[in-house]
Amino acid sequence: MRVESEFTLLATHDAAQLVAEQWERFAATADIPSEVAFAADHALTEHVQNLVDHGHANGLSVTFNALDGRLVLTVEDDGVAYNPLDAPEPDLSLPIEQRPIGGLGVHLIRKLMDSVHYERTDGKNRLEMVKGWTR
Amino acid sequence: MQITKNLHDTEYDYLLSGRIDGPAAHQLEVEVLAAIRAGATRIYINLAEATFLCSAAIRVILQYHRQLKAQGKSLLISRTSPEIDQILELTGFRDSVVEKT
Repeated sequence: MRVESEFTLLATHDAAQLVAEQWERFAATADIPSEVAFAADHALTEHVQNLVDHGHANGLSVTFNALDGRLVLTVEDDGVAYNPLDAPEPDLSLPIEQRPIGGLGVHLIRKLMDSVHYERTDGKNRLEMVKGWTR
Repeated sequence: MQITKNLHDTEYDYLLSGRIDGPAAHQLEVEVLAAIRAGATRIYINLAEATFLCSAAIRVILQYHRQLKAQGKSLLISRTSPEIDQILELTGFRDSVVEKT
């Protein structure tokens, strides 16, 4: 069964919270497994918060799509060109005192989702985050 | 998020329940700063009832963990839920900031 939800919102300080509320409703409707819903919740929150804090976006367009054990989350924004996947992977072997504190959000997105794809088209950033499951 | 504070001399215990998102991370930082200003020597953060932990909250924990450690004091996570433990493990910080039992 295919379940899809699409919505737009302003990139205001409460955008991450609003997306999280939409996600909670969608995850229940689409019967997303709890571990997948937990991962997607984090990935969405981290990405949207990054856009609000650093992306200079006015508006966001968000799509959730679930079909046959595959979830696709898409976030499009009209901010400055920003590819979060350009951020280097943190070196987890460094002692805690030497580890940079920034960049954790993108790291979590990479680790929690199966795949993440970025593209810049028509003056917009588009991030697609995918995660699958089997029951 | 709900924060419950228990105080014993200069040891502070915070129980954080629910969703620790961006605004909650700010709320946590305000609490920790207040504890430091009040002379806290040990701060424990109990995440056993937390359902979500964003990177901003992890940054707050790391920042004050480092600051207090450099002063011979401590800020540690005393307990985690399995979900929050997973998030900390993915960041590579779990072994440093979660209290060893």
